[in-house]
Amino acid sequence: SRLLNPETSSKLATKALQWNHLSHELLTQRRRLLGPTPPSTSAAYAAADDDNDDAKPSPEILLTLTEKMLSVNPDPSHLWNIRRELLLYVVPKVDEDTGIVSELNRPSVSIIPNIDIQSELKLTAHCLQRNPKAYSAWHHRKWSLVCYLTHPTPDDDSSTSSPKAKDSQQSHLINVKKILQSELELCAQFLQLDERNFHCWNYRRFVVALLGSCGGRGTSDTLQNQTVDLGVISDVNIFSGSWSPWLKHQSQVSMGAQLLPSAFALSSSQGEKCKGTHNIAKAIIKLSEAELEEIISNEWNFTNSKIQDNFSNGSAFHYRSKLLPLMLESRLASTHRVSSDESSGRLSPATRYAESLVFAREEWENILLNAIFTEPDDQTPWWYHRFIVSWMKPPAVVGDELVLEYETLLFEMADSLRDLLEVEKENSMLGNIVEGDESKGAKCKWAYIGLHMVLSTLLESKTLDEGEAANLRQEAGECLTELIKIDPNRSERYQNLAADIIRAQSGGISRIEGKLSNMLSGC
Amino acid sequence: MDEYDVIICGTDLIQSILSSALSRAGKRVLHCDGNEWYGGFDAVLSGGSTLHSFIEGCEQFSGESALEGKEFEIDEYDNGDEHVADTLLLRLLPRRKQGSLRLHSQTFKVVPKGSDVTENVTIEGPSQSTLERVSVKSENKKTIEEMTNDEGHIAENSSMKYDSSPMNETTFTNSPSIHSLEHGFCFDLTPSLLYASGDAVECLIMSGVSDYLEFKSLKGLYLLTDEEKSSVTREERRKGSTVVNDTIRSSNKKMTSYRVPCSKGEVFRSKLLSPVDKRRLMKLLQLISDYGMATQMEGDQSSNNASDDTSSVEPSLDRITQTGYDSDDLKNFPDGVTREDAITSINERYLHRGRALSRPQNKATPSSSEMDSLMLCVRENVSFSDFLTKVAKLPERLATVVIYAMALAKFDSWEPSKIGEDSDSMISTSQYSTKDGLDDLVRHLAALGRFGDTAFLIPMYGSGELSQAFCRSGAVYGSTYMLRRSPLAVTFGEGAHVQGVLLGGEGHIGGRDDLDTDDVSDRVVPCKHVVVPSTMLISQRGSKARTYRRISVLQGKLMLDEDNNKDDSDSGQRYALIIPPGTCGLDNKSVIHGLVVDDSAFVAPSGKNYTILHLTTSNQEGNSLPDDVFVNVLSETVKYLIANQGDGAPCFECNHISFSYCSYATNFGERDVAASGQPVGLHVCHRDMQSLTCDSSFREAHRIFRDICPESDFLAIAKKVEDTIVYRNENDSDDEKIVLESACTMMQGQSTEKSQVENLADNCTDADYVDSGHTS
Repeated sequence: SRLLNPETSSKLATKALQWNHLSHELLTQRRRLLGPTPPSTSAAYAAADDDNDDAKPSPEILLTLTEKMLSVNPDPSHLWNIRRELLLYVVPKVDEDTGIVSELNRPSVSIIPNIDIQSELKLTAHCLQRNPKAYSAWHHRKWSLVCYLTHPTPDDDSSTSSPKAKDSQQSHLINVKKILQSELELCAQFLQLDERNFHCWNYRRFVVALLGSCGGRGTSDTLQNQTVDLGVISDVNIFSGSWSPWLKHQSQVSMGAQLLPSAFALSSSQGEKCKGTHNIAKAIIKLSEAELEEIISNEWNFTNSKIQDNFSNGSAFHYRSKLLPLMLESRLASTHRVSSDESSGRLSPATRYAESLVFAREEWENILLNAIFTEPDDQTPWWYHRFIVSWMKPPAVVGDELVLEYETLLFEMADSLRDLLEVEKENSMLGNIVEGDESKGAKCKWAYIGLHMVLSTLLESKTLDEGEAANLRQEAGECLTELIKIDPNRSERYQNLAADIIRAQSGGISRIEGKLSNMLSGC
Repeated sequence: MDEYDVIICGTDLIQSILSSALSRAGKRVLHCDGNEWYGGFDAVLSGGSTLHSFIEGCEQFSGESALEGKEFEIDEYDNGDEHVADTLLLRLLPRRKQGSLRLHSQTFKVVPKGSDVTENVTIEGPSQSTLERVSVKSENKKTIEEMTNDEGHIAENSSMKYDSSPMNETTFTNSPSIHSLEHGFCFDLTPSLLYASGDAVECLIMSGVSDYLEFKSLKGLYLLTDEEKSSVTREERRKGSTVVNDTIRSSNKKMTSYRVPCSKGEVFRSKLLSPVDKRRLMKLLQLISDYGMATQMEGDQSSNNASDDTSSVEPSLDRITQTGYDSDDLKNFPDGVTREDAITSINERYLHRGRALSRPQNKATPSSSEMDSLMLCVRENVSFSDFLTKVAKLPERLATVVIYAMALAKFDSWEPSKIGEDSDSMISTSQYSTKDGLDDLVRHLAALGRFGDTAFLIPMYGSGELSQAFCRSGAVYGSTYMLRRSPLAVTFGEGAHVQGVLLGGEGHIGGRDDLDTDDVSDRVVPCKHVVVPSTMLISQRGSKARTYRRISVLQGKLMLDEDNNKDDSDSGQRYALIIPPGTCGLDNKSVIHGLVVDDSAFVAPSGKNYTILHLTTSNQEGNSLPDDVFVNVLSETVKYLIANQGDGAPCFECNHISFSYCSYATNFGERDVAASGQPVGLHVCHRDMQSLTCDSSFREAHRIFRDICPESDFLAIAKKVEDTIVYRNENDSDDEKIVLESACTMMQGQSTEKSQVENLADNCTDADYVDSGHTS
């Protein structure tokens, strides 16, 4: 309706024309600037210098142009690509004293892309304010950060061996950390505005990974204490935003690599060119135990606060499910550091499992129970519940006591879910007017699914006596019958699950587990 | 003499809204007030001058508590003035007797003249803004001289009188520097909040009066109630030590303050509720939101096709339930609109409304049987508390929370006869019907999730700003304003038709001769309509229904809940507090509403760590309890709140003022006036007795407006003004346009400059260009 207003539409039309004109301009200028020849060859510079200037538009102008266009519309990824191309474009440097073009004398300077990290961060922040879900803007932000990390600033001395270089490297590291901390704050701000912005959650994990790769926040102190290894790793893959390189127990967690190394093909090919004179690698500092724990517990608390604000938040629960094993490790470490100073020996699986049961119970009582009862129709807590139930399954080696405890928790869950269904069923004092109507029953699909899952998990246990198992089996079956009524679109799936129960009963072996994962994918 | 269309007496909020609305509708309006400030009972008194003037006025009359005023009467005017001979007149209460205002205690010290003159010159912060100062911005600069004058004068008059003020309370020290701070305080006679979405906000936006005002969000709504052992969770057990601290002195029973869950997230977090209670509460609230939507939809429909809306409310509610949710009855929708479309559009329209509690998308519609039983309760006039406990199956304690903290049950909704005999809260609210409860609750729910954590907005510089803003806009539309001119009586002509208003002369204002005015004598100003507040009428003399209020200035922060410290970005205190009746320890007879505000809303001098606490309770019609009971409850509450600060920094009460007024004139206009000949053109507006929000004032103003101008739009912006506003908005910066244009000029400029660059061989130009590009 807004478009029907002639004034508004004419304004929009003008804007569209201007936009078209500008993008045309940009593309032609870019072709003229970068041309068919690769921009990095020195031949190109020579050609650029030989030709008259108006054939080669200045990259700064084009950069400004992309900046302006992107701040109007942050979405088109080709504009970001051009911007990156321009940023990597090697500017012939002019010696200020002599006015002589000096890139031939000092190639080490010229290969440093003229990326002003702050201006890129500012631009992307502006763009993201306009559209907080612009994929390409978030990607560019990541790219700029990694560029900044992998390439030293121009004031860095090129020889890494001298003490002065080491100092500047350290100060660079401190700068990086400042920037990364402010990035975390930016994430917090964006998530304040929209706590469900998964782009931002993704970026947050990326920043945390970089922070982990560069060492914790207290590094300036630890450096003085000489407790940190300074290893030089000349691999951009370190800064891909993946969590595994810096975590000590990488087996359990995969946060996913955030930037493919191929994204840096351009930058690394530039880097290779000057391997001899300039080492672009950054020091990677191994995290101390305390720093690791601090990072992880900060993130854990962050998800906590976001879930407290609004628990209908799949991203936060997902992050939490990833952090949970890490938190468990740091909890184990801290409790056992307190109890016995020698923590060198591996903890017994039983202790580990006992701790994880405690943890699972906390998650259930403090978060899940409240969330489920506040809004049982919201599926995100149910997914996390599903994760918790599968995560707390006892490994084969633990003793019966713990298995019993595990089952107690499952029974408690089942009881609470039954309560929930009870409350859902009680419609009103007039309920009997519409008695017999199938709509009268609780329509809470997720509670039935959850109860069924808890029951069938219980049925896998070997400690149940046969009578109890039969009851549980029957109840699980009832859940499924109810579900078929409530949710006829997925009736086949429920029938399949019901068949599983019968099969497990007749076969005497509980093989529901595999089917559970089918169930997950079916939702 | 010119005849006015309407003369409005008193500048309370209702009258101010009316004067703005009426002048917009093209009426000639004269708005007069005997005070020298705007706002009447809704005024905001600045700590220095107006407060003292107010106290002075109260003191004069507080002695004569049993007012020997006359009953409502229309009698012969015996002045002998030829203009008004042979007319009937209705006497209005003199300025200081309005609402039979009583001052119970106060500890503000009036400092003698001379010691503070120099301080007054450097007044900072908000001062009492008056209409003469139309521009909000220049408020502080003007009239300092005038204020100094006022202040000095009042101080001189009253310095003798207050030397004997109570000494057992801590008072402001006599040091002039502290005294000068008093000017930074804004004391609301009636502190009110606004629902973030509701009548008040709608009117403010519609009328453009919002341009004159600023608001902040209320940060929390707290319920102070008995602690219940059974709901103590693990969490609380861990914090056992702090819970014990909350024990009220000299009592074994405990009270705790809980944050009232105002959103899904807060229900989730709340420690007040067990999981099952959470589910029940959520079900109830969502059901009530649906009810609100259904009644709203019904309202829309009836306005759209008024022709077929001959049915009464009940059947149409039924119809809505059906059409909205379960039947495929399409006939009530216009052609081409299917039922699904209607629901979708309604969903979209109300997606924002009550978002904080709304269902997830996969569960968009409620069960029909629940709505049916709700409707049945509405029809059968079941009491709200019965509905909550028996139908919604909430435990009693939770029902109390819903009634007092969520529906914000108002005093005057109750059956008066029950109270006094039995202080049990559940019985006293038995006549609070489900319909009323639902309407109140819907109002609250509709405003949730709009702005901030609660449903409320708090006006900056005090809620008295509201009436001033409306008066200001009334003046823009041509109303005439007269302060210091008390309306003394309404005169009636033939057929008991309102003829005019007798305005008091200047000499009536306390014999002030320092004001540079001509001596004005009483005169009758003719008019067609008169708007009179019920507080000015004498007939309410017998009424016991009074509102008691205590305004306390606290030094320090009043922490209700230690969890609040997490919000470090805004450490300001803006909380509302509700104490249901019969809370043990206080044993209050009726609900107490509290408001805790500090300098973040600019009602206290900034940076000086003062907090203003307003506490309000009320006495009911037919209740014979003496004033002391209520006054004492309020002072006990202050003590309790201060004593239970928890770990916060110490906090004490510096000063307080405690007063009460009567605002409830029962059935005035209809019965009493009818007996004496049915005056035409007399409109009586009633203040709400005790209410956390001022939304009802807007409804009351709307009601009277409809009586006077049934055909005009309420508070509509005039076409001319609207055009100016649109024009102004159009010229607002379109940053996309600016950026694109600058980019275009840059690219054009580049080609021309390119040649310059070549010629001058000056490569720096490009760099400069980039710089300018960044800044633009």
